[in-house]
Amino acid sequence: MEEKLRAIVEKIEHSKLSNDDKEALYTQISESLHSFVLPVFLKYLPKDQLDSLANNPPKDMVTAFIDLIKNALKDGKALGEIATLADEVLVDVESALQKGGIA
Amino acid sequence: MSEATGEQPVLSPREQAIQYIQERDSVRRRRLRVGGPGPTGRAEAEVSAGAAFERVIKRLDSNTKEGLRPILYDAARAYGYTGAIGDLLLGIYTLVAPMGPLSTNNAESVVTSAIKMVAQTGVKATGEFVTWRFRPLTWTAARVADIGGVAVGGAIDLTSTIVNNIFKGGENIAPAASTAQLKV
Repeated sequence: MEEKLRAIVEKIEHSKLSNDDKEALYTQISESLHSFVLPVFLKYLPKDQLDSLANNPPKDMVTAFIDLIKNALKDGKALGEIATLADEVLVDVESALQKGGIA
Repeated sequence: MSEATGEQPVLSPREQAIQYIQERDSVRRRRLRVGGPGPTGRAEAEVSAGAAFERVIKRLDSNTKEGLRPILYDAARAYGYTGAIGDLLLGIYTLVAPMGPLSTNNAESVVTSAIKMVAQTGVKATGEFVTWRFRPLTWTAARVADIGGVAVGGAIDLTSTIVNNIFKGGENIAPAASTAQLKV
């Protein structure tokens, strides 16, 4: 993901866009990358465990929180989906640059 | 945005690119929602899970003195809870990813290590944390070693600075021409 993002940044940096335009694109890319992380994660949080933790917090919240995250991520599906979506975002950004005549 | 002589507004390259990205994001968001019958039910399920997760984060913040609290507290101050959670998870993902795919055998140790590393780096570099927490594991480990007094060399190029800021999120993701002074 990072290599793809680096290539995009280099294209934008080498374009004739103004600094304001470049910054707006970087901000949009950042927002797009971040926007789906929480929704994906929420999908994979075990509902019963989440509700229990939210309504009846145990003494050791850190351990309980780590356990919650572990359960959401344990089969790798959430991280795999995040990776896929991040890749999709960056493919869309590449297309967007082409449509805008930027690269 | 300028107007053409016809009915269609003429978009600048920046506007055209951003509009396309936002349209694609919108499609992606609709596709992501699951958990209830129909689009409304799915949206409600997501809001409900989001609210419960925020309650957990708030309890974590008020009931713990170490571990994840410094990160969540600092990030919450800077970005608000939603941004903090998103940033934290993206950070966990980018820390975990270089270790290879998760399996049921290594999930516990990998994720726990990643979370602990995020927590430790947040504790060690509270002010600086937000600028480098999303680097790959090898890079992060080197920086942790650096903070611990072990010298690590090498400057970060301007592209890396921008990439880092994109991962970080928030405001002021400036192009190279205006970030040259930030080079470290």
